[in-house]
Amino acid sequence: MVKTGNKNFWIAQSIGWLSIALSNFTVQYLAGFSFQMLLINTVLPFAFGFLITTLYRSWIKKINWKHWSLPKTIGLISGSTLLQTFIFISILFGLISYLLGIQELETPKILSNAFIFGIIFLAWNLIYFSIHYFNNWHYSEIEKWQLVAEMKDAQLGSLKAQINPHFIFNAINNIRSLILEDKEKARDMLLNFSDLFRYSLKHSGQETVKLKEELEIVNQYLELLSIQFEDKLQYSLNIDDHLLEKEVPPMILQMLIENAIKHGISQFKEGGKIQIEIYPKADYFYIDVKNTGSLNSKTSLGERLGVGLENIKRRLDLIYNGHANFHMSEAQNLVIASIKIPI
Amino acid sequence: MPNCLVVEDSRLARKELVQLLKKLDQFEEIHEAQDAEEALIALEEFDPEVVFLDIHLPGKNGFEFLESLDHIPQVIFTTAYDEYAIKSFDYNAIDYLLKPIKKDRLIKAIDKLDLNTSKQSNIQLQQVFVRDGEKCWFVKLEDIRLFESVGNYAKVYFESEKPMIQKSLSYLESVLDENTFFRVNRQQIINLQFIDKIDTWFNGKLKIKLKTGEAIEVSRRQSHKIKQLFSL
Repeated sequence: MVKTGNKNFWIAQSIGWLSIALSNFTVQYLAGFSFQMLLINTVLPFAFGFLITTLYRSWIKKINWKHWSLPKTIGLISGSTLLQTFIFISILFGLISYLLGIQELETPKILSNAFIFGIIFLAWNLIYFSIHYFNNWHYSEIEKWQLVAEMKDAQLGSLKAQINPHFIFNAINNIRSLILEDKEKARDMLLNFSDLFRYSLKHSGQETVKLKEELEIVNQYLELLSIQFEDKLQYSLNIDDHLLEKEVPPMILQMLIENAIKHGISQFKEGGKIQIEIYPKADYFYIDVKNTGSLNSKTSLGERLGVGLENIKRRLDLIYNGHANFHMSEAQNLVIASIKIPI
Repeated sequence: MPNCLVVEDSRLARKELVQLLKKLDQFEEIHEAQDAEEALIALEEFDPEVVFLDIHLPGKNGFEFLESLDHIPQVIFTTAYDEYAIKSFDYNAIDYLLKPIKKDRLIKAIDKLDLNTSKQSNIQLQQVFVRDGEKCWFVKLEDIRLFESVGNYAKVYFESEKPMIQKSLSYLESVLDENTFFRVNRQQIINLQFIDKIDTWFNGKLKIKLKTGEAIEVSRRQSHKIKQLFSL
């Protein structure tokens, strides 16, 4: 791959024009031109060719041609080749006639020179643009792959955070114990567990699900948590019925509740309560999960606080392009996790 | 038969483990506690030989509970899933049970314990729990050669480790057996069993060399006591 950049441009630019000048010199020397003619014919094209293309390059760098369509770019190339040739020939012949004191210029000579230098300018353009075009394509390809990888990462990350293994094994252990105590309830809990697991498998790749679906699973999740915490966990769920058909990222409520349990309820001997409220306000609807506790609550087991929350933020950003919002606050001994989603 | 204590906050999980233990018929009494506070009361009241300790507990977690104790019984940790804790156990080959607990696995863990030591000779088994960052240890007191004061904390020297514990030297002095542990100066308490050589130093002070090589200077007042102790 040919690298672009200032240094490489100057090298290519100098070598290119120098070799044109040298070959011009050689050919005309062999043809027996006078020294004065040789000098003029070599130095002038070199100097003006170099100058024109350099100025031209600084102009191309300013316009954002990389986002142009191919026909537009081709148009640019042909247009500027013609213009460059015209300017070049005008200056060149103007100067030559002035320097040599020639009154009349021969048209065939001008045309043949215009043809040769036209080709040189066209070649310059083609080389310049194709190198940049290729580079650009290459980078956008890399960018595309990076984006895909990042998306995958985000999905994998959220999948990982979706059903917490600690919760899974506690639930299984509790159900195992419950079998001896209340067979019917144990059977129900297994169904809840199975539904929750299936839901997470089914929807983890999806961007959003209907709130009513999410709520159904959240209820089952809360029931499973209740066999772990029993009367130490009280919860309530209030939702404006008009919002049931709205879409939310799957498992997002469940992740908020998991966080409320981890940093709230499970830290207190007497347990606590979780209040879930979903309501509309202006052009948004809000999902608030409130739990007993404090934002500064300790996490002594080295659990990385906020991995789950970071995940929620990223998913919201990805899905709603920054139009959704998530933040945590504390009021009256309650930690409030609030998500704002445009209706 | 020995007694045991099950510390677990979930009632069903507690019931599950207690039932398993009952079936094994290895323990005289099986006591239960929901959290660190209850566990402490049960420890004082029943003096169980073995504690099955859940790591996730409300209030103080299992680690913090152990760190707060001066002498701890033999402990088997239980956890549903905890990458962090398991990493520290594996590091030091500390036994733990994963919930749901399998009977075979439970039997193995109990077999590894030293249940036949009578309570009288238990003094030799006295141990403390030390946690430092990601590592944790059960350290027998007899393996500790030196406690060194670092502000309100103390460095515990054993084997090639020297982690910190959240206890002051004065506190340690008050709870440690004075026949084994001796406060040699303001900064250090040494285990007398580790003394290799005692040399006289200037000003009537003594210098003690430990078997592990450390040289420790004894304050003048304590030098006097040591001389009496060893009738030098």
